Amino acid sequence: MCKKIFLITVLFSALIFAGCGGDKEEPAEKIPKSENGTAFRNGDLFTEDIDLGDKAVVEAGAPGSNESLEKSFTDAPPMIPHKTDGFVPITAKSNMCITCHMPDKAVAVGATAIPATHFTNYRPEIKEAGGKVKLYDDNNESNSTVAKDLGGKLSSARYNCNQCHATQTNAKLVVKNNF
Amino acid sequence: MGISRRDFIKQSAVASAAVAIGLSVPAKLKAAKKKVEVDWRWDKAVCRFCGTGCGIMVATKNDKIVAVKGDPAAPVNRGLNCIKGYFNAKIMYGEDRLTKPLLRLNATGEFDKKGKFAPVSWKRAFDEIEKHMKKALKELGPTGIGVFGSGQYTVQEGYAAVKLIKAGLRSNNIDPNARHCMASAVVGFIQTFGIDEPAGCYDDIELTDTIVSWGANMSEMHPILWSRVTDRKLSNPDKVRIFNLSTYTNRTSDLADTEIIFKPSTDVAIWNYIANEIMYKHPEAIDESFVKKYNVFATGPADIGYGMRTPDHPKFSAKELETVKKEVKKKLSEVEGETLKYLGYKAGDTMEMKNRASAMKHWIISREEFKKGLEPYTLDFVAKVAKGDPDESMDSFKAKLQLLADHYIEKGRKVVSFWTMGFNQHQRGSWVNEQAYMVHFLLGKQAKPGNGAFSLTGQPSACGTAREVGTFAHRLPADMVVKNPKHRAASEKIWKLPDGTLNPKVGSHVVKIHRDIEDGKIKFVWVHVNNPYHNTANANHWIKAARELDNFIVTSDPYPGISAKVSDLILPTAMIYEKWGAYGNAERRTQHWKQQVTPVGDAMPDIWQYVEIAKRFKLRDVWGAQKIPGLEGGLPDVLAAAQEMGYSPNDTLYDVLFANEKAKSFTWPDPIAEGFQNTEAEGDKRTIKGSDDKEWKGYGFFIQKYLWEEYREFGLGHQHDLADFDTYHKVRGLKWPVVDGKETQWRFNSKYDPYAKKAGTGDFAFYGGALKNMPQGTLQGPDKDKEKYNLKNKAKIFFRPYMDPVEMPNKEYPFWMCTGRVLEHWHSGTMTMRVPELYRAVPEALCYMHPQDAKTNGLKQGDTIWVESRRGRVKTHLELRGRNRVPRGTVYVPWFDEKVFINKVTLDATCPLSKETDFKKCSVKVYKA
Repeated sequence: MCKKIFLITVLFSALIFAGCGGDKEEPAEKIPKSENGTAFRNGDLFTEDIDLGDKAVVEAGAPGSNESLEKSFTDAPPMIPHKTDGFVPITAKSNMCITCHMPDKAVAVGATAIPATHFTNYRPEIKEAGGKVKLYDDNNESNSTVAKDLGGKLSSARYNCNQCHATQTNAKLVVKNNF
Repeated sequence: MGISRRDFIKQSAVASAAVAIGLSVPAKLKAAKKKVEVDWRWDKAVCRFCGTGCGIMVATKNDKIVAVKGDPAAPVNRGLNCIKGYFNAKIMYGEDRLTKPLLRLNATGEFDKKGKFAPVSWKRAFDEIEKHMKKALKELGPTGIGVFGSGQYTVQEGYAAVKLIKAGLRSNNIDPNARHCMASAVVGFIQTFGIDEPAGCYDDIELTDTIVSWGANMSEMHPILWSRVTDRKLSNPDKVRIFNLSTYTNRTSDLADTEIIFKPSTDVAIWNYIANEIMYKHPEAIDESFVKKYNVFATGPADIGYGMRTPDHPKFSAKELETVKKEVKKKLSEVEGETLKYLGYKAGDTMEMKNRASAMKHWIISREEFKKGLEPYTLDFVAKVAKGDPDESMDSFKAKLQLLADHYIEKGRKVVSFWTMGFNQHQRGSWVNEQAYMVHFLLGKQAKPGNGAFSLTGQPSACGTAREVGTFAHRLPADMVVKNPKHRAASEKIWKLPDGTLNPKVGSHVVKIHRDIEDGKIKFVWVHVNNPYHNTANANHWIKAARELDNFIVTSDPYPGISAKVSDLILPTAMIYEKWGAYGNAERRTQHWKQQVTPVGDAMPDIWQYVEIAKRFKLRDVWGAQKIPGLEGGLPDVLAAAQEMGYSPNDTLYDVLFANEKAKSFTWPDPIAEGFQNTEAEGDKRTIKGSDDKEWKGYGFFIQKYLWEEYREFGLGHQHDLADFDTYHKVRGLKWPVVDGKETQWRFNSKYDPYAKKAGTGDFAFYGGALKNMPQGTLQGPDKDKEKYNLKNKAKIFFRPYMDPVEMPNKEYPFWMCTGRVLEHWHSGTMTMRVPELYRAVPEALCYMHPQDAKTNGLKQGDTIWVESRRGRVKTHLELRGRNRVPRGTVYVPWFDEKVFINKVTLDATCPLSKETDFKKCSVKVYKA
């Protein structure tokens, strides 16, 4: 069921996003030209009695009912297209994100699979030699890339998913980005 | 078959990730990657944001940044970034990027303080800067101008700024936003070690068994360090223990084994409890040989005030005075009656703040005196003082404090204590920094792999620039200070200045620059890489002073944030990857990058701005005799001496400071820069009109390399050795001191630090040279009859007492209010609020409140409310179930949001030693808007 919805949304999103740049689909609000105000404030800097509007909220539904959000460039962390109520906080004992996003499960439930980088350890082992902690033999070694395949185990350096991945609220863009 | 942009990105991401880790990639994917990235140039750079100092890879195409990824070779982050780090790619491309200088003009085109911003040429901009700077200098002397500098300056920008302001204009009124973030840490280092910056390095994380986070929400504020902590924890969950001490529950609590919620400021009492436990109950835990050989005990006065102005100042409202009156005297509370008993006080006594101006004073005491000071801090007493969650039982809280002490004390257990703003932004911030070293020293758990008290930095170059270069009102490069005649002489020699050029009188720190503007003592201010009108507490005062008094404010900024809009002139400024630069992070790692792209619009780098204004000053304008308030005789006329050195009075500061023979010897082009441009050295494709209205064609020499090579002369052989410019372009940073081409991982430890080895004092040497010849006395004060004690190669263990914060909740203002950052935004949000992904993730600052408090006050989730203190009020939306879960009686409001200008509410009380503002506690009321 989940898979079906996902496929449909992928099709839709492919249609919608074909040829579109990152944020161009949504027009930014006009920047207030108040001399002593700023882009993000209505009213000048001397008053705080300004209209904040309603609190922004995450409108997306539960996992599986949303189209995934387009990444604006290679290697950008994908934003979370669904609500995370009940899934956070991530604790040492519980990480609800990986219950759906581990590659084996992701295929089954139609979720975005965690990529290969997350199953790799790039941090070299700390060595000891001559009673000293030793990390690198020389500057060249400190600049080389080491990559240890963790054999399908998620790198625990990447355990805190919400360090890179965030839900998106319905807030209207105030300033457009020309990236 | 065509390939959609979406597929493109997906495939290329997989392919580039796979290539980075050396996996085999299906040929089809490889082809796709090639197609996408074929004309991309990848180069190493550094993240723009926090003090962690992650390495990134930047891709450019057609002179624009097109992607960023974590640098897998960077030792700090090994391929991983946080959400902000990845979006470095987009920070330069907000649509309202400033492209022209903007000056407030009236209808006839003249500058008018009440005029409207209109675009002007760079020449007109510099004409106005010159005019107003000279006017302020003429009327008030060198103290009449000020610079709000930065911990986000590149090293070379900070160095150029210090050289221009201190050597050229002879003013010490330059101070960075790092004053708001690191000053207490600095005082802690200087008073304890005699030298600034941490002993340890980030590798401590992988080597330790215990991580204690003190008032630092590392999960959000140092996310990549937190990912290393997480990695360490999950690799050995039974052995590795994490403690989170905080005034509210946050994401750092989520991974912690034990969370300790304490009342604001009582961290001082908790440290003393741990020390009490060691001294009274577990003397066997003391590393006697370490302490005996490498430590002395010390203390200082308690009657030091709270860093505010005195109540007789005319600009305070009646409401403000309720708090400000305590600056000069206060009635001691029941708790203070206990903690200050050693000074002869009891509860209800009035303490006169006699040492407001001498808060830095301290003296050596005996170990017995030290122990005596700790006497009141028993578990029962401290638990009562410190318990921060009214819904937690006393027994539960006591058990946690005991557990914390047990983990510090356990023989053989390695412990790292981390902190940032919770300690530093604290009315007793310098003290609480010192207390961390107190406990680690007693246990011999300092300056060893996996063991140490580790002060984290907030900003990307608070260490590298603000501290190491010395862009503070009292500092010179390499830990030297303006007050010390030897340090001035050493600086004058490197800078080739006549003797007596440098001003010995400490200048105004950030908060004082604002206060001086309000008092009419400073009339020209230049803001660089900083947002001082957004980030300074009690902002109503400073905004009014800037807009309504006779002064001229210049802000160099890429975006129109609050400081820009408060100014009279805004200068469009190049951003990080639009210029050559270097940052220094919290583990003493210096990292350089190259200019990746041409700046947007007519934006120009900060170095260029400083150097161009230097062209407008002749030596005879600034090197004659100068009056300095509080300095008898003022500054001498050094023009004759300058002539003897071969200078002419008609030479400009540009000729002398920036375009001298040595500078010109760093020629451009340079092989290290092959394939990269340099706007300052050679101009660029824009052919913009420069400060003389002529086409900008560059200085013709490699100015950034010159500034670097001259700067590092200050530290070579003086415990602050840096490598040469070219080396940094070949490595992923090096931790100073860099001696014989090798970085130093653990300072003060003879196995790792050549300076410690050289000292010849065994395994350790705390060789910092400052404040090493001290008076001796008792807890009550120094004894004038005793000789001064020389503690060469030793560090101090301070006793510091608990005192209440100056403003605490009462009936009218019943809540504690704490402010701080959020993961998704950097500081005042001028960059990150313009990245759609980050903006939509956290578009506004919310007021976090306990659901029970909301109910009691008739409020509900999402309500628009007022948060009001004695100083001002702001509107915000109420959040009852977010990532920050506050105890009853506390609210938390982040400061990044221009709409929720929380610094109108905060109190400008500072640590009286460090002058760093306490943003973490004031009292407020909250009601429906």
